[in-house]
Amino acid sequence: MRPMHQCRVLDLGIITAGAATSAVLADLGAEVIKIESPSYQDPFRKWSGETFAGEHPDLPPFFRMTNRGKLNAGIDLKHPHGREVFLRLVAKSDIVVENFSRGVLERLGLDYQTLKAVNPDIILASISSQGEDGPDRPYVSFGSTLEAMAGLAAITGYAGGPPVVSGIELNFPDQVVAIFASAMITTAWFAKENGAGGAHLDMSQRELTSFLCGEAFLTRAPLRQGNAQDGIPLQECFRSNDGVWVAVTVYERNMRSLRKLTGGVTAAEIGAWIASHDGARIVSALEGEGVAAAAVADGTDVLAQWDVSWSRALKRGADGDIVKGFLFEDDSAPMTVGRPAVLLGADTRDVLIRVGGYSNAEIDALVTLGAVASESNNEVPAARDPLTTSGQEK
Amino acid sequence: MTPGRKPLSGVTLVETTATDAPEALVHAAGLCGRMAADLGARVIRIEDPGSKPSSADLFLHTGKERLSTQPRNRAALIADFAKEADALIVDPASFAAMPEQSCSAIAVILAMSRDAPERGSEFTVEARSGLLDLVGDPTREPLRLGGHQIGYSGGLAAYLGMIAALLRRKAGLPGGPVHVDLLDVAVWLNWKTLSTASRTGRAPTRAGAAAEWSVVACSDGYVALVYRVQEWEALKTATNDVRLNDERFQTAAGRRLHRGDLNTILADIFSSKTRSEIRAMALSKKLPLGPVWTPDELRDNPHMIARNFLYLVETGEAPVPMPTLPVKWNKRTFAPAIANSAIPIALDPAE
Repeated sequence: MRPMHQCRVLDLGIITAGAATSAVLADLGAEVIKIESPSYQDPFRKWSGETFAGEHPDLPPFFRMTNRGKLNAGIDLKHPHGREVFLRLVAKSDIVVENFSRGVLERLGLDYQTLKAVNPDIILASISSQGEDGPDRPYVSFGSTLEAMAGLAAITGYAGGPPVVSGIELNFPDQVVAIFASAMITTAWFAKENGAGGAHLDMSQRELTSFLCGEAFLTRAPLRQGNAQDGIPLQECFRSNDGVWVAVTVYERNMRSLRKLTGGVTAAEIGAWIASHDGARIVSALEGEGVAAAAVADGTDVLAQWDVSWSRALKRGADGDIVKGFLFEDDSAPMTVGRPAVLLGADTRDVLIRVGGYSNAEIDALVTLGAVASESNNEVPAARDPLTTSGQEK
Repeated sequence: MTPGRKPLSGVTLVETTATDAPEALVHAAGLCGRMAADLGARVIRIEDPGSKPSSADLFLHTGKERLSTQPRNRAALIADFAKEADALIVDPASFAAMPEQSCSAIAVILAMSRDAPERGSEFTVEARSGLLDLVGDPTREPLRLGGHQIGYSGGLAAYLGMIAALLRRKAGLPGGPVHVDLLDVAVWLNWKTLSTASRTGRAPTRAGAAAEWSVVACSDGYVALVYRVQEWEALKTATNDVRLNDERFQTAAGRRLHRGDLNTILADIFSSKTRSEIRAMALSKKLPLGPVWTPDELRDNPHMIARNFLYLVETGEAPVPMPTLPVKWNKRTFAPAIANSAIPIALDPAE
């Protein structure tokens, strides 16, 4: 039995920040129901990587990776009857996760007070760019916007150079927030079990990014120092004679053995030694002397280390697809990634009957009204050409 | 929640790392403990005497009961405190040194990687995870993210694993040991690159100034030029510069092909604007442009002030602005607990 096995989550999360948060809750055993409006699908269905021949165009790879282990109910939240359906589900659920632009939930008539009125114990997790209040509340952002606004870009960069952001391939703040937000939601669930009641969790990605630079706020330290780091005599990447970048961290305690190995301890001396040897030998020789060293891996190199140096971060789903894996492992409670991601409305009927208490006839009427969409409304094309879409994300 | 109580009131943690544990594990364990302390847990940190105070030290260990002891006394002390603790945040060496009977508390074991649990640095983990390869200029050395992003991400994961195990224990089930490897966490953060690499055989890498999103100088600092396909028209309207009407830039593919020229023009357009003007433009046109603020500037940032993000904390010298846990809980901010945070209490008799 997993830690959140009695917990039901309504997942309004989109793209990465919200959807990945709910995926972590699914790992912990929660029943996660992704709610998508037929009029506003998760944008990740359209711009999250390239789909190949034989893959459904509404299930591109990044979407599949982030939405495994979830049920899916198609509910149009802008439709008055769709809103009613959603609130009926809220009454029977424990957690709602959302990362819409600020103001959207209010415009839908689904703010915290409204949810609380139908379920006083509901936990609403609001993940946003800037938080629920403050002058920058309406700011729209992607992860790298927040790196700039939160202080991380200012402390990232080559010495004497401009600030640097992690960029579109990483969007660092969008990744870490899923760990933080799922941790806070889990804490709220823990506190609720202790009698704390429901809660509205207001989480700003900008503040999280600043928090993770915490010590930089305490001193007026130098901003950009390349790969150097306070308290570490030497830290840098050097290129080997076979073109491999080798990352090296040298502490005082390493100096003696390093001098013996390389003939010196300055950056120039170590750089020259590395430039005259091949990458694999360098790493092994440095590690043999107790120096932290590693070849700089690209994505392909990292995949080659699966089940060697790492094993949890990615998993294969029931269909063999690679999906996001786990952040930790508890020997007492093994996790699974659950079933593969599904199309919009794949479980509408099941969810509305089992959770909402609707009859099949009522659901048919809601479908006719356009308030909900069930899987029967989704035409699955027999074959599609590959679609090329961008990999941008929030 | 009744007034005065916090989400983790009544929970006790012991946090410790071995004398020679990689600094990354100290940072990860420290962040996990700091979060728990802010949320009301009693956090007992057992450390070596004479540890050199640093700003990271102050940030991580505020609100904890810090006890220093000689390494030879450490295992017995941990075992003693573990009897009353709900969870232990430890590195592999500290866990291995503990007597078995002291493990009724949930052990959260932080390691560097599956193949080298106690070896490496945050920098080498960033290298092994592929994250280092993504940042910086392609003609120069790969560039680490500032601060302690790898250690702190591990701390977030450790905290999550700990709460999950506490939930199981509350339900009368066994919880833990919980294993967190920093390399796995870093690879988890880099999932998109790995997805692309697995499907195409080609891994994205750092593009520097030719990246889709670049950082350029403005009149009083820098701005991150972040925008998607959908924002292109709004960017053109907002900047009102005819050069952006160039035929080459009117499709995403065209912009990709002529990225260098486009970024040069954008850099020129923004060079005369202040960050304040860029912020106003971003708000009015719903553009995700990022004025670059330094941590020092953010101390006086109106939004950060309105959000109560920084609390002035007395340290014995000048008060310092301490970042708060980035969550408002029913509009409540958890001010950093400061008791006993500045100086560890020595437990060993004078020698």
